[in-house]
Amino acid sequence: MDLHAEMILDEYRENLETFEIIKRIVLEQLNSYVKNFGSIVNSVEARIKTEKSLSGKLELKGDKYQSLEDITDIVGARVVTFYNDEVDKFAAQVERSFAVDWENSIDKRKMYNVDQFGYMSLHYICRIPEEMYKDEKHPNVNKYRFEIQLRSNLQHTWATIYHDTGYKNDVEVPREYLRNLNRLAGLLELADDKFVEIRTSLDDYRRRVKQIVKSGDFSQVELNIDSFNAYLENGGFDALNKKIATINNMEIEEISLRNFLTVFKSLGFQTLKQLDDFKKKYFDLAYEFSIRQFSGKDIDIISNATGPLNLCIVYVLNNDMGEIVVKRILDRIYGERKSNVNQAKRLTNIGKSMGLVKGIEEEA
Amino acid sequence: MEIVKSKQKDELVIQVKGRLDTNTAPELEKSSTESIEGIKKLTLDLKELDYISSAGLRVILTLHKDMSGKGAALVVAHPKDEVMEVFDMTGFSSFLTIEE
Repeated sequence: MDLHAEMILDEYRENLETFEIIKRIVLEQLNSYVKNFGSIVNSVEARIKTEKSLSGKLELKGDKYQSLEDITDIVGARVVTFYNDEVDKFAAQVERSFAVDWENSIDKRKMYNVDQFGYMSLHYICRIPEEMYKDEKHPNVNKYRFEIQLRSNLQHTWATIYHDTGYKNDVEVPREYLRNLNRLAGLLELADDKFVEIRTSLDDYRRRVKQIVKSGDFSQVELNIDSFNAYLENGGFDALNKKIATINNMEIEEISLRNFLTVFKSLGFQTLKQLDDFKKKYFDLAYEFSIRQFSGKDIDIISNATGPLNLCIVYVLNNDMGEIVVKRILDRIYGERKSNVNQAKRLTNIGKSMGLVKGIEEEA
Repeated sequence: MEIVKSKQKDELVIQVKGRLDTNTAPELEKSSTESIEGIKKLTLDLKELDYISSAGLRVILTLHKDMSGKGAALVVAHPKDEVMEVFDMTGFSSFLTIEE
């Protein structure tokens, strides 16, 4: 290694503490975007180039650099987002926070012709502005530049595999492999756009379902986790639970009712209207069932699962599906347990005392 | 009611025997809250618990929330049929981890 390269290496060693500070500030800023703006990212990471790596760089192209200040990736950070449109949101934050060296920053996504595909990433070369950090003991924190790479998950996958081939640029890659890599880049670009499209249409769907459920028109709404959540948010089984709670002046503990979706599906309900009609039809029976459960018991607390569970039980018994289906419902809600057999029997007996069970009995 | 505690590293087992009701629930609450610091798994062994009332359910609910809030686990173990019936009818079985 020549004297010039040795001088750059000395400067690197003397400024390691400075680079640590830069790395810390950059990481703090990038993580704050994730936290404050709810960005969905796969990873935020930063590293300081090792002395070995810097030596290698200087040996290969040391003439290119007058001083350490000319090397812009001693500190490098990378943000990998799930969706490619998040890259632009992140980019806006980077541009607002750091002093961007526009001459050396590059948007590789825009450098291809319409018929070219390849490495897609956004590279910013930046400095820490004095408004963000100023310390007379560490003036070089504002002097040295650093690099921030922003890319999507799929762009990252492609870049990582390309890097793994050991080639540094397209000129080195044998034509046949380069063609295959670029074909894949095109495919992943398409997939990236499709993922954004799917996410956007899902967001639209959830918004639409919430509005429809709020309006009370359930006729055309498919029963799925989004419509079920919206139904619960709009009071779902609250009235029934409140009525049950009056039996012993009980307190209601709110828990997740997510498990009930699979139960309702297994009972054959396909739309929210079917679920709502079922609730209205069996409301009084479920209440009567609860009276028989709780009367005379020293219980003044229930969870909000009580209402929907008792609705399911009275529906099953009233439609002669038998004790075995009661047990299956308990299996779905509580998980498969030995005690579900006894509990199913006990619940069926309550149903019998109400005159709900008419048909042939099945063994659980 | 009788309470027997045994601790191994960051796991605590509390055996509750007899009746867990308005009179005895405060004792379980006091005894468990003063012992769960640093505990990653709390097991309430109920195999000798004969009766549980709302007051007992509330103590278990409080423990469930405390443990979940710390990223730790609460396991309710071996409840008798009568106690299990109470967990089921109140819907507590939906969120408690119960080992039979």
